[in-house]
Amino acid sequence: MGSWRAATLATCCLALALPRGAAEGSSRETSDDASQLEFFERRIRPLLAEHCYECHSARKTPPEGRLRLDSPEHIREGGRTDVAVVPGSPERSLLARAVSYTDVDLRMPPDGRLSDGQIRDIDAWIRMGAPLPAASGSVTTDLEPGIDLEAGRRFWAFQPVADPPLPEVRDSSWPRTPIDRFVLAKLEGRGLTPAPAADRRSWLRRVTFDLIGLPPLPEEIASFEADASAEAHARVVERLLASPHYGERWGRHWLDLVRFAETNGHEFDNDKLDAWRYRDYVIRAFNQDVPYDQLIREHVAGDLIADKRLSPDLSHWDSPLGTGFLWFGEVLNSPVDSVKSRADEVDNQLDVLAKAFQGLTVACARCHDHKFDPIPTADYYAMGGILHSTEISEAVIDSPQRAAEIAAAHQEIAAVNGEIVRLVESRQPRLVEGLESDLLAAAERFRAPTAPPTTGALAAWYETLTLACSRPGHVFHPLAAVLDRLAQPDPPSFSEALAGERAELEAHAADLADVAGLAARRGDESFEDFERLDYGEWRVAGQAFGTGPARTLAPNLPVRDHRGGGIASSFGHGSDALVGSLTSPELVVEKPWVHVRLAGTEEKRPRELAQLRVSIVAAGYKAIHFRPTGSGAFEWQSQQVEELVAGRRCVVEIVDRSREGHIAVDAIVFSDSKQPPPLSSAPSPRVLRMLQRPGIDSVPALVAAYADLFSAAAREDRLSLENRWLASALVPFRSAEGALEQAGGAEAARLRELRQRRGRASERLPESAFALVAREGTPGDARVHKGGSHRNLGEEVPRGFLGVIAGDEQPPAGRGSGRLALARWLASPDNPLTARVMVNRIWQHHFGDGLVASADNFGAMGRRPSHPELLDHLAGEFVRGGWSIKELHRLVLLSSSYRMSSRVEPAHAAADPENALLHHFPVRRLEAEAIRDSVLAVSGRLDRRLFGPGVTPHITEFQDGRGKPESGPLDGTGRRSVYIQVRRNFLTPLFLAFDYPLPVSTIGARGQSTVPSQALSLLNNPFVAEQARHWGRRAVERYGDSERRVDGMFEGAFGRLPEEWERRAALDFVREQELRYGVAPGSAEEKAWGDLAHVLFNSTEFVFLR
Amino acid sequence: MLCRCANGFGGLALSALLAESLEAASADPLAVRAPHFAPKARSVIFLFMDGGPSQVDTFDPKPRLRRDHLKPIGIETPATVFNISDKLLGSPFEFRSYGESGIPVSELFPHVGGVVDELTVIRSMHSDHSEHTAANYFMHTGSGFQGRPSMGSWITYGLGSECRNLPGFVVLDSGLIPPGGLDVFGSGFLPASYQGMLFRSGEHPVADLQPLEGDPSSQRSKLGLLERLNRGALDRFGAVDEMEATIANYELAFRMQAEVPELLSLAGESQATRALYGLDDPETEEFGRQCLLARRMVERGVRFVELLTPFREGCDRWDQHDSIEAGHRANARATDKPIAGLIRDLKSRGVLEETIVLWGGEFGRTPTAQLRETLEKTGRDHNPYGFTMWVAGGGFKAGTIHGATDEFGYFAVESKVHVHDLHATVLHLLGLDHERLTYRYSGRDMRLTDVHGNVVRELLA
Repeated sequence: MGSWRAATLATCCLALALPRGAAEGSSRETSDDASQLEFFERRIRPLLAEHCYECHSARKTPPEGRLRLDSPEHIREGGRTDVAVVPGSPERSLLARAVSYTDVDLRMPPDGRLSDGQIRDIDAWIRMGAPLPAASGSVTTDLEPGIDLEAGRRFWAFQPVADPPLPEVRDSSWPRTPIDRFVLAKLEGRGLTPAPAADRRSWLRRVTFDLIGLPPLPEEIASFEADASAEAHARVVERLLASPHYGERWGRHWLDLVRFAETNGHEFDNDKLDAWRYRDYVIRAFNQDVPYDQLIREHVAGDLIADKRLSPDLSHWDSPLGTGFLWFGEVLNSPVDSVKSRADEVDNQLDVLAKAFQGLTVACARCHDHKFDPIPTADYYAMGGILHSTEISEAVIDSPQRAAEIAAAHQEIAAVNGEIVRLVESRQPRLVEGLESDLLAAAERFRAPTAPPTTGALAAWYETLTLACSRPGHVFHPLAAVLDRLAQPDPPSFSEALAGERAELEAHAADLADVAGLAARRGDESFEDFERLDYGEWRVAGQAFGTGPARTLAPNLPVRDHRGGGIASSFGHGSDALVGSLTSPELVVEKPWVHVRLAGTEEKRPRELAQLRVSIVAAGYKAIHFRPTGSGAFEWQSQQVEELVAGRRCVVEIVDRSREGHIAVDAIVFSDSKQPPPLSSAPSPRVLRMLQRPGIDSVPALVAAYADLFSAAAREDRLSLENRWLASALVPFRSAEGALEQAGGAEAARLRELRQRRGRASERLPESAFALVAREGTPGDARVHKGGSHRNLGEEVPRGFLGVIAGDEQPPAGRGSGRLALARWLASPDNPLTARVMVNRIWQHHFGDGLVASADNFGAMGRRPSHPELLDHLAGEFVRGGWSIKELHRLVLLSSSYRMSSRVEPAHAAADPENALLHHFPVRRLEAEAIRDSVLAVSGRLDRRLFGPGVTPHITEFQDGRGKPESGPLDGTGRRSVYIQVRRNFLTPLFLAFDYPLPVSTIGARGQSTVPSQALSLLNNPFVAEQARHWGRRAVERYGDSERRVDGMFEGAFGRLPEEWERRAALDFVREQELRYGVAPGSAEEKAWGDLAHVLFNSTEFVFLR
Repeated sequence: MLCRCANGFGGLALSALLAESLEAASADPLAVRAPHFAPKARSVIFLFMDGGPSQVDTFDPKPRLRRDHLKPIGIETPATVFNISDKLLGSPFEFRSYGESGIPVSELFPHVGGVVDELTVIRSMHSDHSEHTAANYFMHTGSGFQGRPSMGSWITYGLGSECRNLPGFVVLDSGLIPPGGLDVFGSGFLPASYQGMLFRSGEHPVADLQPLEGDPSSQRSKLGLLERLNRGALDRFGAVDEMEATIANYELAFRMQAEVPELLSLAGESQATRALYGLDDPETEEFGRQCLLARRMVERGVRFVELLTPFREGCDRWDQHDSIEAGHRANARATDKPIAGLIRDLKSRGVLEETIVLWGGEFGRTPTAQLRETLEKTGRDHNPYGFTMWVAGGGFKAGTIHGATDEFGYFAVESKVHVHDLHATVLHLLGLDHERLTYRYSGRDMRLTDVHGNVVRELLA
């Protein structure tokens, strides 16, 4: 056991150790040996590494028995006792004897026999002649420090893409395209021939599923069958490539690569805002055939690149949406260690980015230099620094044109508003008309020790005076305080009471001069009070917040308790319909409390989904949220600073995504104190001046002075905040607009009409688009996390790219995050991996396996290409063709290789059981989405609309846990599967049964499992049964006679007509079922045909493609 | 074993070709596979105590806590989730010694106390995560992240299933899915065949198991046509392994339709057995039924059965941040008798020795108080630094205590057992070397124990 342990620990997270230079030999071998070498690399070398290196490699000095097994030379050479391996003869090979445990004196490994399978592998390898790669030069083991990038570049995948000549073939009649020459040459080299062409219907079904993920329609089959021309196949391919469903199919393949998800997972599975916009972006990009290099640049730096693309309808910028892919990972609900959380998030971003675009497992280098690939830990942190310098932002991505349309449409709203303002203003002086008498009545009542009035204006006034009594800053405080003094048991004279009040207010004003001192004592730090003329460093998106803080309130916005000064208001233009956001510059929160003074429309959605909110955001996590309560007043809201935010770089976002509400923020204060800061309660200078007026010698005189004050204000600058502040004291009495309304008559009718016009104009206002996209954070280089721990920091690494690709001398990342440079490296035609990895993915989706079977790993532990020259040919064509993905489809789909039948010649199966050389077209099971979409397509219930927010998945009683959403409809309203929301903790069981990927990391090749839940779900799932009934009914309605029904259903399901025995069997079955149901009244016929539909859904031919 | 190996669609003959393909290991991921070395145990029942029971109130008595009740702990303690106080909280529960071993058990578990001589109480567990979701993933998958295979998946992958009519890894849900959701029982990157299949309590425990056809002969009739069409497809497509496996798969599904209702029917269980599990008491009925089902599944060859905590109104799992006394009482009351019944029943049937029974939560709780307005409402915070789990049967050393926490019960200090070590030890008893049970994914040979874990030999009989 002891040596086991040591061996495994020495290789740390990788259970195997492979000499790094080892695999480069393979590209020099003749291709016929490739699969044998592959066998050695995949089966034998890892086994030797795991079980033998401890004693038989450079690690052990001297190696046991002088035998080393850690390089081809040493394996050939053998040890002290004998040669270890006699090619072709396991019986004479010491290695085989030792591992077989048959010899009492020679049992290896000593601590336990290998598995039977492993022993069989060693035998098989020796029998095939013990193929070994060519001499590998210097052998490095993982014990030797450092990575030799120069040596690393000799590995095939890091070699420049070659432009191999088209190989010569004997059968020159078979190839239609260059691809075929490469495929045929390999086959001929092994004495094999390609399978004959598949029948036309099979090819049509194959290519239709491949390109759009749906079965061919009967009319499409008929039209293809009728087309005898040489261009028939090309026409089909063009039709399918032009189909909008093409993007849905290939977009979904892409979503697998970026672990697309619409919720955060973890404890509560909260929503990721706007994730569907990324999904639509991908679908559009594939449909538009956006060049692949552009697609990569947009994914990495779509918010920064100069040549940003607009969406096809020109409504918004498309390119920035690509960057959303960075943020689809799991998000912890309340991480205890937020720095580690961020490091884990960057790790996931890096893992996905490197696997998806480069086919490299860069994330292996987080804790130590990559064990197998030339990726030093420093490179990991060089790229990590770029991602650490990148933040997420909830942005408005309206195109300039859309912004102009909104502004233009809003002009109408503004014009109506202007009319409303004029109408209200014309009415406003009258607002104070009855003031004096009302106020006087209230004052008398307030002074008298009777019960407070309970109804009408009097009650409202009484309430105002009560409130004013305790608030020195209130405009009516002097009046209320004087009245209060006069109501005392031993009342002073009026002038004494007034003098006392004046003295108190003056003393209070002196106290207030020490506001700064108070704030310091409380530990207040004002982050923002919006007292400047503009928003300064805040970033403004959308149009709701205007270009700077509001100094005046809109006339129809009744907000009480405004203290004057500027506010950030999304009601600046007097319309709820506008949307937008404000994002603060970065800050580091060091205080334990945050207080926000805000007002606005009531927000009932969960905090993360609230359309009106103030959020404090750290590294993409929306941690602290404030929502308006709709109270009609500015109020402080206070929250404790969460761990997630404390001490970290954050931004404050003020968001209005609602077309029916508004939000206004007055102040944001961080503080040591749990209590919100006291508001300056200095009485208004105008009120103080009023009190100085001579002749105020009685309560009526004081009331008259107030009436004068308000009349003057109403005549002057009617809508200044100062004035509103005064006017707000007149509410309980509503807004001026409210008063107008109450007054009735022609003016009220006019107001109603204007409001209706404003409502209609608001509805016509074009939509704004919000999306989560990347933004530049504070640029900085990352420090190496020694052993992967953020608590053990090493040296700082300049931001950059993989040295093995970008070279040792990289230009500095510059002033930004470095994403632009990263995009350039990734999307370069000189990058040896980018084009190869992508053409391999496309090949894989057409042929089942990639030319490199490990689609996400082109490194040493990945598989070697089965057809390296073909891979390079395609990669070269891809780049030369302007990185056009659709062009690549054409190259592949019109080849003879793609046209082969799926039937296997027994001799071929024996010679190449894995079909690595492609002697026939492989049979494949459809993916989960294609199965569901096909069910809907043939049942006639498929909703072929594109795009839009996702459909909530149908939640069964078997799905449970926190964050469970309200269930969506059983049939997902018939939308294609790509539009069913990807809720991490509530993935659709039907999908999961058929190997739908978990959104954790890049999945280039899905599993192909066979589990009972697949059979159970097609047999007994209510969705499948419901669709079978629909299909049965449809068949009965559509076709008069039974034989045509069977034909139509077979053609719909399988793309072919039934054979005669099948037709008979189906008809017999339907008759049997009809008899069964015959006793029951009603639609025995439809039910029986529904049963046939159900059987067809369950048949292997329905879910398999040939 | 009692497992019956039915073949075909219950009377419908399938072609010999298909029957053969079912035997082929390549087509059947659940085929029994040889362990790395001779195993002691063949199956596992994991009684997962979601939320984290308090060690100092159950199996790890600390008199010091009562002595210094509400006094500051006086030692440096790590940040906890809520950081409410540093004041010690004496256990409200009395402990006494049980059995020949004399192992102390609190008054919460009198019945478990009665079988304490079968238990190995590990008082020195420790974990890496102090909030639920990550800790749940960690306890189950050896990683704090979503997306890794669960212990039951690994074991089924390593050994296959001895039952042809049921999945190899079953989760018995009693009403509370732990934070982290169903991914806690997911197969991660392993093939889907190994994922935990959730059996809900109640009449229809498995999704899509109930045939939709009211008349069973109607489904037969469908399957009859299906079989003919599938045979035709094989002719047309050529003999494709995946298609043959799919056809065989319909047979397992079909057999499950019959097997599961039979499994769930407790009609054949004696009155004495029902009483043993507490089925006669509404308080213990639910979990008792799940424990009895676990026994029936293990008997039928299911490899790994996990039981989840029953739902109790008012106390959210074992996660008593407040009212620990009332909450722990309610949770213990619902599970104590059924658990003891399970152990006794397994023992009397001679299957305890080949069945590992594992009890514990994702972490323990702090000896310090999470103070509330009254002592009654006071609770304890999360504590991954030292907590108790116990194991029974399957080659574990019975009637012993392993390891210790400090005098407060805060940190494991003696013979510490990390979660990875527990995983390694369980695998070891099943005949699996945790360093050799690997799966190649993402360029790495992945393991349940990541790059850690030691078999704890002292725990073995």
